Amino acid sequence: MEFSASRFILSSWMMLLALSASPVFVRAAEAPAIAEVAAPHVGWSFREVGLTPTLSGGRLKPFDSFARETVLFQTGSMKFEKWDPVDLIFSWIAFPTYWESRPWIRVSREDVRRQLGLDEARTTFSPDELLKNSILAQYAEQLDRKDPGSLPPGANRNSPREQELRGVLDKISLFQGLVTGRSWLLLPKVGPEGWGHLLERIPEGVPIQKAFIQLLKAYQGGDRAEFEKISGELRRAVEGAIPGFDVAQRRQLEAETLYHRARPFLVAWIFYLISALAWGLSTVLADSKTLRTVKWVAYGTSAVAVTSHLLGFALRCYVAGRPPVTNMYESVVWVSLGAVLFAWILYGMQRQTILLSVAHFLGCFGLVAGDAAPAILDPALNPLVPVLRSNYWLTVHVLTITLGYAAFALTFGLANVALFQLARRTARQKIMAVNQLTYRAMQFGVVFIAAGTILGGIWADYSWGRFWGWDPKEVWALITLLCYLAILHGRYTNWMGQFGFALGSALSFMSVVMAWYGVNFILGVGLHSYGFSTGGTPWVLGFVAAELVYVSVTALFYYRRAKA
Amino acid sequence: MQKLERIDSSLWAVLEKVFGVLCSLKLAILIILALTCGLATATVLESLYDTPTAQFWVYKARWFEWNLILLGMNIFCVAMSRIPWRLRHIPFLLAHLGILLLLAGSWVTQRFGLDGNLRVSEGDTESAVELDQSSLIAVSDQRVYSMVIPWVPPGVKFSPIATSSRSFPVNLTVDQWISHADSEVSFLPRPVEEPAQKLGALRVRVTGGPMKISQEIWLWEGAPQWREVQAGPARFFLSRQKLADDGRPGPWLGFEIRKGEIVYAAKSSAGKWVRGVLTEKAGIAGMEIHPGWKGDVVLSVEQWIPDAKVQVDYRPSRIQYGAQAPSSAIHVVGSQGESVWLGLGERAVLHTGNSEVTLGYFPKRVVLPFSLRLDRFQVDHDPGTVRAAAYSSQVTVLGSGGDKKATISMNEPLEMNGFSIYQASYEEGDPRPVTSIFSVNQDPGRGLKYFGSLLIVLGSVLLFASKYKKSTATRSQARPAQSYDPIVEVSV
Repeated sequence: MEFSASRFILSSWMMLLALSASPVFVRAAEAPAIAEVAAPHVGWSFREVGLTPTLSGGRLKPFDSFARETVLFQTGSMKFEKWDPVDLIFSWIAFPTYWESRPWIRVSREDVRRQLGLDEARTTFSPDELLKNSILAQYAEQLDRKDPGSLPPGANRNSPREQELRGVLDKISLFQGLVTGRSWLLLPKVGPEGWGHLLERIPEGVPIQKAFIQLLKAYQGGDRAEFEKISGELRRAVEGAIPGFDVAQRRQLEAETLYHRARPFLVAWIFYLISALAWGLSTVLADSKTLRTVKWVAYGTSAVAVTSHLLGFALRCYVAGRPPVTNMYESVVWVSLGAVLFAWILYGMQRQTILLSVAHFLGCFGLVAGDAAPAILDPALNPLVPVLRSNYWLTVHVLTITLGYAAFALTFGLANVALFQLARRTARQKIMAVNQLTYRAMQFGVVFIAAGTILGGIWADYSWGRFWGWDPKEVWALITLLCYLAILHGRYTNWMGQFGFALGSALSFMSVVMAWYGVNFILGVGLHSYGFSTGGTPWVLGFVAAELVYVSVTALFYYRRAKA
Repeated sequence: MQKLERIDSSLWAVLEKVFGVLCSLKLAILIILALTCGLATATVLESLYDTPTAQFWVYKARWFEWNLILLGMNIFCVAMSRIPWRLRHIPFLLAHLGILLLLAGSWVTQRFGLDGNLRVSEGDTESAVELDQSSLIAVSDQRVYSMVIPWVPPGVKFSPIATSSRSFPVNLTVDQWISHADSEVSFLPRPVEEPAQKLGALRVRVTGGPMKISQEIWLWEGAPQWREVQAGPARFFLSRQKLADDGRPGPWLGFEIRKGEIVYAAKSSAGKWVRGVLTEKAGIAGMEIHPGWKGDVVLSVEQWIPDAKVQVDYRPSRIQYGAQAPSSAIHVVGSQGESVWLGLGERAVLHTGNSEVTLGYFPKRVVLPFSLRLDRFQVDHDPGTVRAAAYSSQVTVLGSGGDKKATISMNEPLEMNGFSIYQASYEEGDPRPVTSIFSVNQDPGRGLKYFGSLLIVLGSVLLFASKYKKSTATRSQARPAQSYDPIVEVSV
């Protein structure tokens, strides 16, 4: 989300401070037993409100998505307690005094908490606490005065700490905006300045504003039937005010809501996990009735998992109006899908169930990782930066490269299995079979990463005027290719042996990690800057370290047994 | 005869040995590993320092070039070693020929291609493309000479370059180089051999004030920007006329230079007026002035030079890496030891012997056979945000074939006389940006690179497909995996 882009919010921060004492709609209506009223409205339908169109982040989206993004931004997690995101946002505007005193805004960096003199043991704070914080107020004022170019020496505007500080300010101002109605962009307007908020005085806005006040009264009064009735009216009023709003747009908003509510990737990873276990079990079971049952379970769960994964992906394509491969989250989803598909293709050729077990574990791992850290892998649908728009080659080159990553992920998984077998001295035949599969997967990877890198060159030539510019992303794609080529050539001369091949195949995946994650999140330089982000580095380094430990342990066992 | 044959055969044996090494897979893997390590290092260097540093150590370094040449030779020799070629060699040959063509294409691009930036503001016309190199330019007798100065990262020794061998009008040596330089102006007493000009200079220290500052300023009679200097809220100036309250609000302090003495007058923001005299007899340097300004400001005259000349020096900037680092500077020495510092984009006159030469230090420029006028630059935003969604330039191309109107936007370049002009970026402006930056390219290696790429992909697909066909054919025979005869491996 790009709340920081809306600098006008920041500059009106001080003004809002003064305003906060007099929220526009509500304070008078607040009931005394507020803690009881400000509780999740279980059983209420927020569907109609959720489907109401709104314009935020440069894109027309259902209010449901806006609520989700806001809740994620404010609290740092996808779901706040048991609240439906729309319900929670309504509760903020309906019962502001309650929410102002409750600690729920996340300040995740300890150094920022220390700098602000906050309780270091806590991670969540109430808006009141933050609003009364003089250090923060000073920082806001300072930030407001300064033009972006002039910085005190030594200060890095984009250091994670500065980002977090600005994030805290943005959170407060967004909350203030939601409480006062200024961040509810529900009044459609044509033109580049965007939609109007609830307090704006424009003739077209009157019916929407009326409906909203009624809706809020119903919400405060706890009148469920009235709330659900008027939420439909509000939606129709907003839709009616958008020039040229048609069924197709309506359907897209519905699809987006469905995408968020159905959580297809959650379903997919649960079933991937079951099927991976079932496929794994089927490789060790002897031929029997149990095996047949296990295989049926494996096939069934695989079908559910893959279908759900595919449908979720397709739905996201439809909602975004483009192939979703432009940020880390989307590429994680796509790569895990690719690894599963490659495994099924190879399975069709070689009938080795170990492939499916490995690939479904990878699928599960990818989707869990994607879901686990929404603050790092932002799942929101955002508009593209200029260089990525209107381009056929973009789609083709990114899809191809990431398919290469997918094949290498499969290679990596299989190589780890082979390492395990080598350490355990499993039958030679079995080891060679797995290594053969690793080799096949690697071939897929090499072809796709070579083709993808070249297509990237063609795209770069087409849009920047040079085929190759030693940009870090390009270079790491090349390094990845070279690593795997070295292994392919080494295997060809037979210097490496079975263990060496498995070892190299597993370790080469670290170059993929670098090309995929490292360039954008660690190096942070070059032309692929639209993908740059921060966060998650300890996790990724942990993954790399764990792999290194695993490889060393297998090597130890392998060579000790080889000597014996 | 026999001896000759022996030499011949031993030469042949050596050649064969060299060929054997050149076409070995061991060499191929060594090259690949060297490339991998070098490239990884380069990306880290680029992240830690900046792009030019990474280019200096890796991408544009001699060893890297040789590594690529060696790779090309290796691939070529391997292909030759397979003669006589058979049908089954085709995938292998295609993939490796593809790499050769790609390398060749890159060489052609680097050697004969053009890649530069063209910056135009609305209403302006421009035809010169700035390249990524800087050069020393000399103008003498209406002729222009130029020499490219190689970029050297901070902390690396710069080896002096002499111009004599490059048909320059005079012998010059570039003996010092600062990759990121800040200019530093100082004033020196004019040497006795130069004609006196009586341009006085004063160095004044300002201490105190509400912000408790301590700052030194120079005042000099030689140029308007040195005659009157603003420091914080206060204004300082030199005058040859009698100082009087001109009605302008304070705080200001004026010095009137007379023979053997300096009269000063100061006015505070409250309008308080102070006047005094510093005499050479009592010693001017070190004298304190209390002008009665806010925060007990104390002024002291640190140095007084009755006839001073200005000297611009460059020293390494505090910021040595990244986009904020200033540009480079060179120190040029003439044949008699006379010298001058030149910052990028500056010019100066150097008196050498009895001639004088105008020098300049500028980005290398190439003039296009046509020129470009920017009619309008436009940025569109995502609705309701300040994020740029697209930007485009409406231009008119003024060439020999008449004027032509065109629109250049992101991903939609303009093709003109073999040059491609891309919308690269723009400069922010108030209230809206009016300066567009284009990237101008000419790439004669493009065809080779594209064809090579096609062959690489085609070849590797065929290579793996043929291996798959073979392995499924031989699987039933459970061939031992130990032996990998190269020819068998690629054969069907």
